[in-house]
Amino acid sequence: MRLAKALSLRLLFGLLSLIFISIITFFASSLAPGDPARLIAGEKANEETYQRIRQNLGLDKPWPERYVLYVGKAVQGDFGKSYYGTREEVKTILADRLPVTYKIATSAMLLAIIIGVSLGTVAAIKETRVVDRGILTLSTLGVTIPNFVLAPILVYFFALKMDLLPVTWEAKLRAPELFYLILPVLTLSLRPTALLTRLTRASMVETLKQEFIRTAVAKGVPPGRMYLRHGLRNAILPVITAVGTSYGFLLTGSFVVETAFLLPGIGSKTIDAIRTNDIPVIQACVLVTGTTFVLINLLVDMILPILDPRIRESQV
Amino acid sequence: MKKKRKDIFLWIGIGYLVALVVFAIVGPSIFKGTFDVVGAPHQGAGAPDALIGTDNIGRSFLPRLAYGARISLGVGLAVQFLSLLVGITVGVLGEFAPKWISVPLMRLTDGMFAFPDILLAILLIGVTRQSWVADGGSSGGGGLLAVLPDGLLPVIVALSITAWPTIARLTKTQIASLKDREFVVAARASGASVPYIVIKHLLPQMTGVLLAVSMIDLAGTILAESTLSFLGIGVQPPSPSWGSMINDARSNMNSYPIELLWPCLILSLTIFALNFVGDGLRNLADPKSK
Repeated sequence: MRLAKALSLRLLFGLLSLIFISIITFFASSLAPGDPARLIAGEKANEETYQRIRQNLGLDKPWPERYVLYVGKAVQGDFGKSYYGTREEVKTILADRLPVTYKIATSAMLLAIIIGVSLGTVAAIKETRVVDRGILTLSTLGVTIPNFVLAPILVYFFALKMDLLPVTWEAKLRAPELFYLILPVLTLSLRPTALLTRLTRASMVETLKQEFIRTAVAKGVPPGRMYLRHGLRNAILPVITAVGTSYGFLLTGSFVVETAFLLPGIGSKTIDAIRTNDIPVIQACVLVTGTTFVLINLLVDMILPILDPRIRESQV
Repeated sequence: MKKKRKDIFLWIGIGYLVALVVFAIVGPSIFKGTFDVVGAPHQGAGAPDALIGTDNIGRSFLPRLAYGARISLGVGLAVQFLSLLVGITVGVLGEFAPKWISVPLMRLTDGMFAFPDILLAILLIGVTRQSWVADGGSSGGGGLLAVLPDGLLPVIVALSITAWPTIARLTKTQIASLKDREFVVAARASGASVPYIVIKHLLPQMTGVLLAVSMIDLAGTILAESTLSFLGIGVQPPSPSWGSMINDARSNMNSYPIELLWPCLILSLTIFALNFVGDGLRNLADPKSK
């Protein structure tokens, strides 16, 4: 019962976050200079055409009504049309671009979880030894090196010097897609890997000092089982929470990585849209990115009580 | 033993930062060569008027890096100043103001965390970009604004708006833990007003923690500024920024890989140094935390 209450509170908070994001993106567009109707109509349009476009965009209505309309349309996937080019539906742009971003962000996250948790566990088991020091130093490097510094360095060595991988995405792929995604995913995963390593290590070190670990050792549980079943299983919980927050870095990191590797994802599209001042595209991309972040964190917080009975019990 | 090692890193970090500040202040004027005029021939390291060489269009590295340091430190300090100002104010109000002020303020602070990392800054710069690009650096603004490099002000504003909530939360939790301590209760009992208690008793207690967090946030801000400039939506050319230098260097790294080295190195070292100093200060301010 208490769990249900806690979960519904969390859901409510998630919903409020989504509303907040939608309000900010809605009002952000009004910060943009110029009149969108005038922009679409063009300089030469007559007053009648201009008024018609204004009405179609709903600009003649008061803002609360426009906000409700905006959210109502957004929920149905209607984000309007791009200002430029063939005036493509933003919906189509998102459908084209989102899979690439989700693919690299999720791959990077999985890679970060696998490597981060393994390295962190090893470091904690070998606490204060050389292995531990080495892993800690590497992870400090990993947290501080910016992804746009790492990207060109990786390209220089693996693509230009060794010629193992393609430099950037191309319109006509000359190799399986996988080869084009290796460097972007590696670049993107560095920071979350380093963060999860440090976190797993800290949490595991703390857990291994607990009494139940001493009990396990005393009753002769084999080391492998002791570290994994008794240690890691308890230590992993804060790491899971961090997976949610790290996903935010992956989403903004994808702006950089997609720009650096010319990947056709939502991040590079946002930057293109900013360069051309394509407000509906910027608005939709930011809204979708922010929403993804909120939903991932919501999901993580929903999973936690299922995994850990202590959270289930303690939540009021 | 361990404590000493930590101190060494703190001092190395401080030493590097002092050197960087000096470099940023005097660098653009003492090193020969131009940082914004293009067209000179490319020169390798050791050339008489470009100590560590120039980029492919003849802009000398040392003054460019120094100017970039000015931009990074300038943006960083301005953003930290603004976000401390707003963050502390919101945090104090969140703890002391009547409910109808404090509750909406703290909900707003919570809401800001719905945007991951610098997404909000990207949005704000994105929608307002046309008004500052079209304006140009020299024509618009007037007064102080006219001398700022193109794109600097929007970066500062956008990053400050993204940065203050962390400070606000920290201030609120710090005050919440301090305000029932004896010295505050005593001050209250002797009739001190809330502003007096905040300024005379609470803020001085928090300077250490706030300073440490600001140092680490400063690293984040410098990183964010470079990211925006790398993406081409931050500080605009001809003003050099470390981020845009890295972006420029990528296009010809096959012929001049060394061009990539300098901005990457100085940016990474700066972020390291700020983290060392931040961690060091935090250990000094709050020895219990790790």
